[in-house]
Amino acid sequence: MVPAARFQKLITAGVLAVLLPLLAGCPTLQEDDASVALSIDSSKIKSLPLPEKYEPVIGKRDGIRIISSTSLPKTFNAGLAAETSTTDVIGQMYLGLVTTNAITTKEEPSLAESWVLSPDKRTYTLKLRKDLKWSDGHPLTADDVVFTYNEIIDNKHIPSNYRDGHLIKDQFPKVVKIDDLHVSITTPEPSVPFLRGLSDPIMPKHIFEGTTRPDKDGRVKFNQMWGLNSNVKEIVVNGPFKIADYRSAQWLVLEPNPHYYLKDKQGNSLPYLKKFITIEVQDLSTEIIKYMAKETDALSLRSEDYDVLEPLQKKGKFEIVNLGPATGTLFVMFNQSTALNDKGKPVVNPTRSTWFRNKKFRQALAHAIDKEGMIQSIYRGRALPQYSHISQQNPFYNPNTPQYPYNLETAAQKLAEAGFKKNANDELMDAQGNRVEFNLVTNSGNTMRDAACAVLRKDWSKLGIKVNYNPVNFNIMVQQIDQTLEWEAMMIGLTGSAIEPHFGINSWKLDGRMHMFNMGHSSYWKGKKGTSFSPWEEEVLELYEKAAVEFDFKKRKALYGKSQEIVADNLPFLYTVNQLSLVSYRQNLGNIFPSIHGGSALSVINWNTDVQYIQE
Amino acid sequence: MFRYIIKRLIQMIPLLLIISLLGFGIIRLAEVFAGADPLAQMKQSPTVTAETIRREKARLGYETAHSEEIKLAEAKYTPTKISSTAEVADDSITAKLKGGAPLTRLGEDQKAKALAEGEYRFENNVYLFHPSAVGKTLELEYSTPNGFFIRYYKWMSQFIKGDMGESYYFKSPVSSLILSRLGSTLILGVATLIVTWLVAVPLGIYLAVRQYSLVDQISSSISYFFMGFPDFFLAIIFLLFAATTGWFPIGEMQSIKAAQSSLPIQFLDLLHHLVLPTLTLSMISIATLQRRMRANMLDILGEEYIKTARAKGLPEKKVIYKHAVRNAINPIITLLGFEVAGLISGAAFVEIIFSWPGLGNMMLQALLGTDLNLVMAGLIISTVMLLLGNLLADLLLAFADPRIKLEA
Amino acid sequence: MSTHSLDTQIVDAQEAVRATAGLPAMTSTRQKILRRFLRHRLAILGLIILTILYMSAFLADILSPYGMNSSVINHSHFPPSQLHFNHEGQFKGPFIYHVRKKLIMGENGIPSSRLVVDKKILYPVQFFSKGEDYKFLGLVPMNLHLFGIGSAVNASGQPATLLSEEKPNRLYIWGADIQGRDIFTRLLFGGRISLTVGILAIFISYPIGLLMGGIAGYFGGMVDNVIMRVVEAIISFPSLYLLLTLSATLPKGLTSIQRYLAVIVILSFIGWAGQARIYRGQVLSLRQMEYVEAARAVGMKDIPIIIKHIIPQMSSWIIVSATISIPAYTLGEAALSFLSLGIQDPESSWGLMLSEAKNIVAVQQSPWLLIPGFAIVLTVFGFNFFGDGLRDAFDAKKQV
Repeated sequence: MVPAARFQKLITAGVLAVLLPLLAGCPTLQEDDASVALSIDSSKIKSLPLPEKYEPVIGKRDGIRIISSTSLPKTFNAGLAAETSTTDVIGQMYLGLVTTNAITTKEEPSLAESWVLSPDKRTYTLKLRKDLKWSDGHPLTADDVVFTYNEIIDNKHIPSNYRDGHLIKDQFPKVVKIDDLHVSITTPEPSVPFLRGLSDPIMPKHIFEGTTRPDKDGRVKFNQMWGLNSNVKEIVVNGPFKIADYRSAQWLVLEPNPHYYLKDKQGNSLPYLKKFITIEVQDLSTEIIKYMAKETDALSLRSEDYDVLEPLQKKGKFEIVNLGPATGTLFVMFNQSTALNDKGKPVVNPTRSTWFRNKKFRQALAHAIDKEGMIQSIYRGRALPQYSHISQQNPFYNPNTPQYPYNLETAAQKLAEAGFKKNANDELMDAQGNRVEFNLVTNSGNTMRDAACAVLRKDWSKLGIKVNYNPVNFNIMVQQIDQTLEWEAMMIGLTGSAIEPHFGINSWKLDGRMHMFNMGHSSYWKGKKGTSFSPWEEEVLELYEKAAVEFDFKKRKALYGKSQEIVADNLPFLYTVNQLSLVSYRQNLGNIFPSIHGGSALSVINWNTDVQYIQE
Repeated sequence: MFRYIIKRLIQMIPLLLIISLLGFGIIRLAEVFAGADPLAQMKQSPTVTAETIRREKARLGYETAHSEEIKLAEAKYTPTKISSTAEVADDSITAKLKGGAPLTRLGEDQKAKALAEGEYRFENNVYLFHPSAVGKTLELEYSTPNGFFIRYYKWMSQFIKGDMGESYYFKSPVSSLILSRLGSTLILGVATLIVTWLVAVPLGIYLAVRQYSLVDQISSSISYFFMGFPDFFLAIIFLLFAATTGWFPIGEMQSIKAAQSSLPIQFLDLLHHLVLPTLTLSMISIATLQRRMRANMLDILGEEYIKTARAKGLPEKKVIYKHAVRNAINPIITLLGFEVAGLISGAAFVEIIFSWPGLGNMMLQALLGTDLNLVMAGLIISTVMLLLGNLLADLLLAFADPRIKLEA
Repeated sequence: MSTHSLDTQIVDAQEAVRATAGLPAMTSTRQKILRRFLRHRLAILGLIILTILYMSAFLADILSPYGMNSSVINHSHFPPSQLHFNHEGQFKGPFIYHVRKKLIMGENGIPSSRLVVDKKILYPVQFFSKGEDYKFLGLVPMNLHLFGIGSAVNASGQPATLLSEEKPNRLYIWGADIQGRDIFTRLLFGGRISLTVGILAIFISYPIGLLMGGIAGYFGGMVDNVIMRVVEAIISFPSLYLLLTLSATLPKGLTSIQRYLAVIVILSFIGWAGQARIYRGQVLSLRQMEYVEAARAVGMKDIPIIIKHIIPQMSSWIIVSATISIPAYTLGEAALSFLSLGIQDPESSWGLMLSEAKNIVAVQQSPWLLIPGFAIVLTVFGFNFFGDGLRDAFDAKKQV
């Protein structure tokens, strides 16, 4: 053994040498000039208005765009795409019949050149563009469309995510070929959002024919095709890009599809970009550092990261734009399910379930959510309070729903009305004398969410409620929501659509997978007994169904407006705040049209990559 | 030599069996305690087909399937292949009229209802049919759950064949996922070993020759410092260093820009990415190894024959490099085995922090995604890697030291 | 994970056994050991480090200015408070200036935030001040804190008014975390978990390891074979992979105390095997000793012989090797919590606190987030120094 005592001083010096720069690294603060107020008036927040028209300029061929993502696609088979990491990339490679223009929010021709709606409003006859080709040169015809809808989407052997969206009265529309260029699609009932929904990727029949049914061993070959370990050169597409290179957990390189139908005004073939690359970066903070190091050219910002990037805008030659409140939501919900599990035990403790099903209880807690406080402290002003389940940038948004201003006295009063009392120890008791206590679940590893929950817990504990905070892994949370139903209160965020409220109907269908606050519809719940529903839940669903067949915009808006009032009164979801949708991109990107309607995260600028180019 | 390798490999088999049994046991524990049943997850997922579930069920040996074809004599029928103790797995039962329409089963809550035509009920291991089915030929399918060891046996026999099942999280076969990550882990491991040995051995020699010099004292205290330093903390500090200076890439293994150009550039790019992860891992090993080498050298330098050699007037360089180093290095090589073990585990952490696309990194993602098939395979494969590494180290030792004979 | 490779432990253990087994008079041995230990300066340093760490964890309630989960959200990532003594040339005693987080509407319509210091508002630092209520060790209700800051005053000592909606500052000697909790406070409370995990895990893994190793070595043959194959299997697993896999067995919805215990059990499961292997070797040699033969001759049963005669023979070795192996458990806990698989918020542990440093951008802006890492390093050093000293003190070679 070395007599280590001799090194004592050196070691101490070593430790100090590492520690000191750390302590010295503390920022020296500027002195307060007392000029501005402490908080921000959120009504003064400005967001980038949408351009009036979508008119891309003529670009230059060549150039590489690189973006980062925390996850690369999970499959290249468009029929099996489920997560946004997959659908984002599929969207660059495949077109549907119809697309939604992110600037005008109108339905626009895509593979279909035009369409006619029959007088009974049930049948769309769509005409395909002439001379469409797959990336392997094979012609794209009505056969591919019919095959995609009838053999891939409406096929119980294929776990396609697109099917549910097309069901009307639980029936799949009839898709029939008229001739090589014409298809007719008939729905059992007229439906307004139906046309917009016809954006599913059309898949090549000449590749997949004969693979969509079980073979003699019971295997459906389609489900194994075009997985991540397939040869990327074999993947045939109809959109602007095809895959050039893929390396698991590292990158996905897209290159132009030479047979992409769209040309620019001068007749040059599109897309301009030579390569469109997504690199996988597992960590959000690494994404920022890579962006700052100019390794990537666009970044979807979380509100907490704005302060880091904001001072670097000029030097880094990038811009940060605010697209207004994001379409995603962040809320707390209480489990109102009265279902019994397969052992005959209630999924939620019946005592607690009665509180959760009590409207007054939920309203009281809504009054005890300090939205403004969260905005000022956690989100540093870069968020807006949220009141309605329809996002604020949606044309059907109703600004006049009840808002539950933050007031602990009102909250306490509401609780008293509902029969809750505080005991001598300042603990809240229900009418039967049970201590009010529940578990609040959220996904672990999200520090902002931890902070938001901390605000809630603090305020709710002031009401005498004991909140046991329990962050769990996201997957486990999802399991709790739609498999075990064993949770009490949960904070969760969802992404939403800023155009069509009907696409959120799964939250209101009683047997919908997103009817999270009261799951256990007896038709699918495997336990002993299903849950029971309140009249207002059926009322909301009815309004949604009515609105789906209402072609008059004003009447439709009134129906959705009413639904928002009912929901805000009954509070299945206690909303918190909407972060601003911030996106940053380098100034040398041409034809960038940021729009909140482009989709989630970076899709707000990636929805028109086919015309984007790199400027000098 | 060849026989020795074969012998060692055969000896490894019982160990591997116990390892796989333990691993399988842990996963079953996870199933019981944490409810992380891979099959249950798949069943619930809307994007997994019945076919995949069937395949997984067979692979994991959950149940033994039975089928019977009977001519129904009365409205009651007890399947013949159920032993008195076995329960039928409830969701596995189907009954069909031979070559014809399937019979719909009555739901749990409809038990009190009488059987309608074309329906059946299964209660207490007995099938109940509507009287109209009597006299007809029926096909019955059901399965009985297997016990732990049968399940282990079935799983193991598939595993050896390379079928490690489907990853629930990555939606790919586990074996291909593991293969795609193994290379990256090996690159990191080999690079670390090379750096460690190239630095530690010469450093140890140098310090032994210059015992008690200032360099010796400084390096000894530095190595003492790093020996106690947790690897993940060191990794964070290095990553922070990279982020602040911009001299090194922030994690990953290759940059996409370099990947677009020629091979030499790709190689340089890989080296650039390797610097920090390798440094993190080597720092700690160098500290240990260098001290060993130094101590060995000091021992040898004190031996009589070195003194004799010096007395004979051999040049000092020759004494040290020809006689001392050779003898000092051999015992060090035995450490290689330990080194490999520490490396695989330590590398996992470094991979996670540096987003290195290796096995350890995938293991964490699989775990967070509760993808037990992948976790299981990762555990077993990493252990096999470790054992093979140890074997390799032994072989190397035999090469280096002719005195050691390879006899088991 | 352990920096002490197996063969050193074997050698050390053998030496320790020789030291204890061969010595006749216990009292003089003890004195010699103590004297040798006290001569080991680094070991004393280790002991001092450990004493400070454990005392501060024990007295966390009193030493910390705030409660473990007391947070001011608006103080998220507040920098360490800078201590001043002079205000505009006048000596005021220790005090800190008011730090304010301001939101400023940018020209682009996006608010940005900035920290500024307001030198018109001062907070005097007080010692033995009355602060938040707590129950010392969960029993005695108290509100005494070693230090804290008083309410805001202006330069002339009159109570100062803050801006509306503004909360008074707090004393953050090592800054605040993302939720605006005092890192110093959480570090002390986190020590209660991080510092005890190793010791408790030893209390589980050592008895199992000793018993298994004892049985294997004592009985030999088939029993030995089976136990040693299992031990070998556990040792063959790369430890982090095994740790990760075992964490998958943690049931969801555990309370924090259950989680803490579960982490300890997991760590012990990995830890016992190494001990069993070393101990088996010792028992193999001790088995042949006369007094064991004698015990067997008078008809003592096997297990009592192991427990009553063999294990006590190794007490000094056990103490030394246990001390040396504690850091491995501490690191194991830190690793699990760091990967958000171990202890979870709102509990505190050093690994968990360090996991905030995974966010590289946050660390660049707030380097004090790394402090919990240094606490881990310090603990490991403390145990290493102390363990080295113990080992040398028990070492027989030096006696000659």
